Amino acid sequence: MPTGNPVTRRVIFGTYVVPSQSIEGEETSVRHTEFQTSPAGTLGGKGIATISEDQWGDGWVSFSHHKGYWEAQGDVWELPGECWDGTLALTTGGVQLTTNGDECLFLYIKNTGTTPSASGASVNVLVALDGSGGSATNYYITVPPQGSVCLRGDGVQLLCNEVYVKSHHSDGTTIEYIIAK
Amino acid sequence: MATTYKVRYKNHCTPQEQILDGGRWYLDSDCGRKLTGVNDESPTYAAPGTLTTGVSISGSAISIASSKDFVYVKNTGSTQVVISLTSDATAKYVIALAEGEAFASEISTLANVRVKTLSGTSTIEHFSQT
Repeated sequence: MPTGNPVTRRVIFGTYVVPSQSIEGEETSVRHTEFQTSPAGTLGGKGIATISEDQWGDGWVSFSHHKGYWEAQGDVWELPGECWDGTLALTTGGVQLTTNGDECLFLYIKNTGTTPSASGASVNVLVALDGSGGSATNYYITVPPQGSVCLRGDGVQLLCNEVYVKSHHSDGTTIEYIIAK
Repeated sequence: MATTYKVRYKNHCTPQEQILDGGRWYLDSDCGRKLTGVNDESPTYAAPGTLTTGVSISGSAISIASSKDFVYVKNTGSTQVVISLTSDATAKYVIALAEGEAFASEISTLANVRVKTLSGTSTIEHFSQT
């Protein structure tokens, strides 16, 4: 008898890259855009990440199903209250997405901020994959406004509690995310 | 005539769940939608990017990008490869790419992108932009 609880979960993911070049025409205000000479086309790949059917908590996604009710959340509802509207607000201080120490099998982060921000800046999200002890130093992944990053964890070395995020600009920004064990 | 270069990229995903073993896959009930992000505006680069294909990967790590602003890596072989973004003594290989999978992101110029396999050999293609 099915219970409604998932018996298997997975994430289908993909990447699509378009390297382009813009060449000034005879009239300098006219530019022609085409693929860069190499690769002379698009790049990309796709895959499937198998994740645990029993996630570490409702906070593994920053938002809810559009037909979901907060009363049905499995967590104590007042605790994961940072994402009431489905996004997490970031400042220049690093934020640990979860304290759960299980292996991270899939990570998706989208910068839902827009360009320009309040002061006219383009506010990027910075992501570190090796934080510990409440802070991180190697914020090596940059997610521009409306951009996203997704990756499959190696299943051993990347732990959920090692993922930290912050805004690169004092205007701050917001993200939506999935962090799955 | 000045030529400028850009990289537009999209990372997308679809979380799914099965309610019965071997049954139909549904959109995950905790998510309820497909997710995607496309960079609003690519930075403008002064030089073209560099694509390298058919790179052989083994258990000895090789660096494919340092002092770069954007990196794309695809596993074109059949053995899983793992990626590290740091070159610290304790650097961990935290990103995994199985056959056909790719990783693309803007990165810090401080990152040193290194790739290896945990066993066996594979091949990758990679593209980076400065």
